[in-house]
Amino acid sequence: MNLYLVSHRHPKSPAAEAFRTLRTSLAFASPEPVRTLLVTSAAPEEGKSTIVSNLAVALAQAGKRVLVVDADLRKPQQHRIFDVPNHRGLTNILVGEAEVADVLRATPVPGVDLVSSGPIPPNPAELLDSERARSLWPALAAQYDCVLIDSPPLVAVADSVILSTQVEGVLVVVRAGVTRIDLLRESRALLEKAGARVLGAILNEVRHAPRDYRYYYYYHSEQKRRASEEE
Amino acid sequence: MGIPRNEVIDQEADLREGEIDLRQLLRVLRKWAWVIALITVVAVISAAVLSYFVLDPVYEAQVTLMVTQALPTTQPGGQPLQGQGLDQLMSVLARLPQMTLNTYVGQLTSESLMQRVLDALDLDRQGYTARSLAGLVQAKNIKDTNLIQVTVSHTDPHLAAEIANAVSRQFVEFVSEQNREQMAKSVEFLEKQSAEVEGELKAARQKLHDFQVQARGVAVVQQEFDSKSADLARMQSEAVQLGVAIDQLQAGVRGLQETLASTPRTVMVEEDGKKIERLNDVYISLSQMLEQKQVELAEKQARLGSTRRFIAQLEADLADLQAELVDKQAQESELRARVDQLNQTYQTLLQKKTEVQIARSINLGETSILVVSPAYIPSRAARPNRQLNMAVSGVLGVMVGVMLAFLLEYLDNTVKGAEDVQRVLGAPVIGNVPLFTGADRGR
Repeated sequence: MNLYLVSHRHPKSPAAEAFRTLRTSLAFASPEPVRTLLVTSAAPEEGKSTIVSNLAVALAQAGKRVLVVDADLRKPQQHRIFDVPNHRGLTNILVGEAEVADVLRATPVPGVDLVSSGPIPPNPAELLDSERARSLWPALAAQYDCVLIDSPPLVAVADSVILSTQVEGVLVVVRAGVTRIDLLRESRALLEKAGARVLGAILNEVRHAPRDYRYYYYYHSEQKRRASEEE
Repeated sequence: MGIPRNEVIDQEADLREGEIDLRQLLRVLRKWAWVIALITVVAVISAAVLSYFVLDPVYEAQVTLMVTQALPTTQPGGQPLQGQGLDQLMSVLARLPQMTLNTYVGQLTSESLMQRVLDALDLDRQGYTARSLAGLVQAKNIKDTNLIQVTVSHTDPHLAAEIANAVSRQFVEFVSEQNREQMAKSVEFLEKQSAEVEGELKAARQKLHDFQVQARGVAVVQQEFDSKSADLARMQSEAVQLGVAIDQLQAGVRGLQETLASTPRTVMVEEDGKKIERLNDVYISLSQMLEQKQVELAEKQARLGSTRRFIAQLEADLADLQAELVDKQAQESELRARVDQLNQTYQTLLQKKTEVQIARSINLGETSILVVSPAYIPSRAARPNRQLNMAVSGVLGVMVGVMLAFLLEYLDNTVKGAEDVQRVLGAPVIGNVPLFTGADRGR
């Protein structure tokens, strides 16, 4: 798993460039700005957390105020990616023990704040299906330009389906060569049944054909050269 | 780096139209190139190991035989029996066996021949059997020629040549022996037949002879017939002569009667001046003559009557004789025909017997099969053909690899790219994240 903030550490790498392109595409994916965005996938290990964090970095680089919320209450990752403690977090807010301000943490990346998962509860789905959760997202969206929510896989548990009804847009991460077509089809059915608004898919770990790859490098090295000239 | 939506739709359209995209195929091959390469390399290496270290080299020794008296066609037997009857049958029974090239080829790997080779080379002590030896020998007719190529494969080149030569040598003998056996059978048959026919012929001759020498044979009857015919002819001519004589006599009698009528019975004769009537001398002599003639006529007529009776008798006899003669002649010619027929059969059989005996004395094996080229000890192994084996397994490896690649690709039910996502999820791909490389990681 790429638990790695490539956009932050190597902003000129092709991967970082890919996240910036994603950021741009996202801006055009919907006529009005989408402020609460759920990132999920059909099965585990498809790169949701990495994409959430790197996309957050890319958005922050564009001058936006970004909040990352780790709603994967079964296998939280964001606190590890941003290297912050996870004593308190989303679960504390949802059970009413804390306010958002109490658990909000600044990350090493400027412009990116994080609400980590908090202690892992026995009943994440019920917790997320609460009125408190539903009202939480608009409140957070009021404070940030973009709220990115990391979530568990769609097919295994109900969490993401529940969350998908509470947010403005859903992004589905698909890992090329790994995501099974039948699970992806099932995910689509689940999301359609829930009435979620799927903005689009993010294709992860694309292996480029050699010729495309050369073109890719050429193209980006051109861009990088131009970028360095501008600097 | 989002793929523009129209491109996604275009690709989907291509898929819907069922077009096989060559690039798709190449992509699959490239993806599984390592599988293809691995399988190919393994195949070639195992072929090489087998060819160089595992399989014993096999040497091939070849003998070329030429068949000089084979039928041009491969049709077995010969023509069906027709016309010429007996003669034809005889030649079918007694001629040299008609051998086609395929007959020879078939005999070359027969177990009885192999057994002879075994005995000749003392190979059974080395654990060979006729069957296992036949497995080493291959015989084939070289197309459009009268040549038969015998190939012996063996791991020992010397033995291969030795066996090849033994096979050709034994084959020549084998064919000769077979031929002699066949001829002996023919002779035996012909002898039996000719003895039988000879017996019949003797019996028929005896019958004919008996018929000819019986009491009233054809000759006797014929002779009688002939003599009676002669008698008849004589009688008939006599009857004719008698008729003529009778006619003359009757004419004479009539003349005399007329003359007599006009002749006075008495004449006046002046005897001594006086006329006396006296009997006419002429008249007397005439009537005497008439009497005489009438007597003669009566006699002739009597003779004619008896002659005619005799002729009638003869004619009746002759008719009987003729019937008898025809009957006997028919019998005789029948017997004679039977004798002739048997005689002819007997002569034919004798002639064939002689022919077969001559044929038997010919050594068919040596006259009909020539060793054109004896076997030499092969210097190079014919098998395994290392290059060929490796090339074949290389090609097979590539084929199996490619098939496996497509199978794996077919069995792979994971999402491959943007078009799959668009199709399955019903949402566009708005971003591509490449696989982070080591350089990206930089840890």
